Order: sequence, then C-alpha cells, then structure tokens
Amino acid sequence: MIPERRAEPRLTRPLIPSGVLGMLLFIFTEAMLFAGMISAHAILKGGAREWPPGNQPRLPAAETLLNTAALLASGVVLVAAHFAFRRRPKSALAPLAITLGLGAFFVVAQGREWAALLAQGLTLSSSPYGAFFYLIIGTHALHAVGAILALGWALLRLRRGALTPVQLWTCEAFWYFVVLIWPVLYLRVYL
Amino acid sequence: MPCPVCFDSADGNRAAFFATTALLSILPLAMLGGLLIYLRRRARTQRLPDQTSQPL
Repeated sequence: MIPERRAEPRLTRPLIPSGVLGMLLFIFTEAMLFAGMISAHAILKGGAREWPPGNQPRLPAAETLLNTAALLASGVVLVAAHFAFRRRPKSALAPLAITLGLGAFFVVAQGREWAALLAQGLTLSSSPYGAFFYLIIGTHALHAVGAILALGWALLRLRRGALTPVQLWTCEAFWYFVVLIWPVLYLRVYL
Repeated sequence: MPCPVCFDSADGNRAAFFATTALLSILPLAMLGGLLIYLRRRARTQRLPDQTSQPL
C-alpha cells in the first residue's frame, strides 16, 4: 500500500521582508570586510616588536569613550524608536531624531579626533599603525555616514507619514551593525 | 615552529594567525547558519495548522 502523501504546509507571509534580507546579506559581506581588516591588523600587531611604534602619537582611547557611549546610546534609542513605531508610527519621530543626532555627534567627534591626530603626525603613510587606524576607523566612519543618511531618509518619510515598517527595519539593521561592530574595533584598534 | 607565510616564530604572531584563521573560517558559517536557523524557526511558527493534515 502506497502511503498517503501530505501537502507541504503553506506559509501565511514571507519569512523575512525582502528589504531586510537584502540588508542582512549586505551586512554579512561588510562583517567579513571588517573581519579581514581586523585580522590583518592583529597579525601585524602580533609580529611587531613595539606596538604602537615609539615615534607615533598614541590614540586617544579615553576621549573616544565618550563617542563610544554616544554611539551605543543611539542604538538603545533606536530600539525605543522601533517599539514606538509599532505602537503609533508618529511617536517614533523623537527617538529617531535623537538617534540621528547621536550618530552625527559620533561622526563629528571622530572627525575632530582625526584632525588632532593628523596635526600630531599620525598619517596614512607615517607607519602601518597609522595606516591601519585610518583604514579601519575610516571604513567604519563611511558606514556610519551611510547609515545616518538612511536614517535621515527614514525620518523624512516618517514625517510625511510614508514610512513603512519594512523600510524602518532595513535602516535599523544597518545602524545596529554600525553600532555593534564599533566596540570590537575600539577594543582591537584603540587598546 | 615558524609561520609558513612570514617565517616569524614569535608567539604573538603565531597566536594572531591561529585566531584570525579561526575567525575568518567560523564567522561566515555562523552568520549564514544563524540566518537559516532563524528562517526555519519562523517557517515553523507561520505554518497554517489546518493545512498540515490535508492529503494531496
């Protein structure tokens, strides 16, 4: 007797919105990019006799803690924006604007830090120490700027009442990546 | 034992090679595996209960 075949159960809706899935795949590739850079940095650091080199200025690890706190706080506020949006979309305006402000503060503070380090003689070509610092932290800053632009776009759409949940989740995913990868970079590069 | 790439036998360098090899090997598998597990769980919770017992 042939056993009775049962129908494959159907799904009621997509498992994950296309926009979020696309952003997740992009984040995976970017995570590998950072993993590669961190690996190269770790190998160079592991093989160096003196790290950081004696003739190079030290990175301002203590001052950067303030920027780090602002960035982490922006992630927490974005979680609040997420839940506010689920309750009533317009109520997410304030937390989203605060996230944007904290993110902008982070980028501006990093820019000021770079200007000070350049003035002290730490450049891309001054040493591998400087080269890796500007490469890794600069790549992160580019991602932060991109995510700020995405959040700004989401804020504008929210003000017009045109922001969809999927659009917000997609922008959120990008910002969470920028926030969560920063402590790893800080620990590896600054300390 | 020296590293076959740069012939540096320093402990710090060897440890860095081991750690980064592990990171670059495990990270992509962990990310894609995590996503697949998440999608599988969501698929299970989204199935319609009345369609699971219908024969073809």
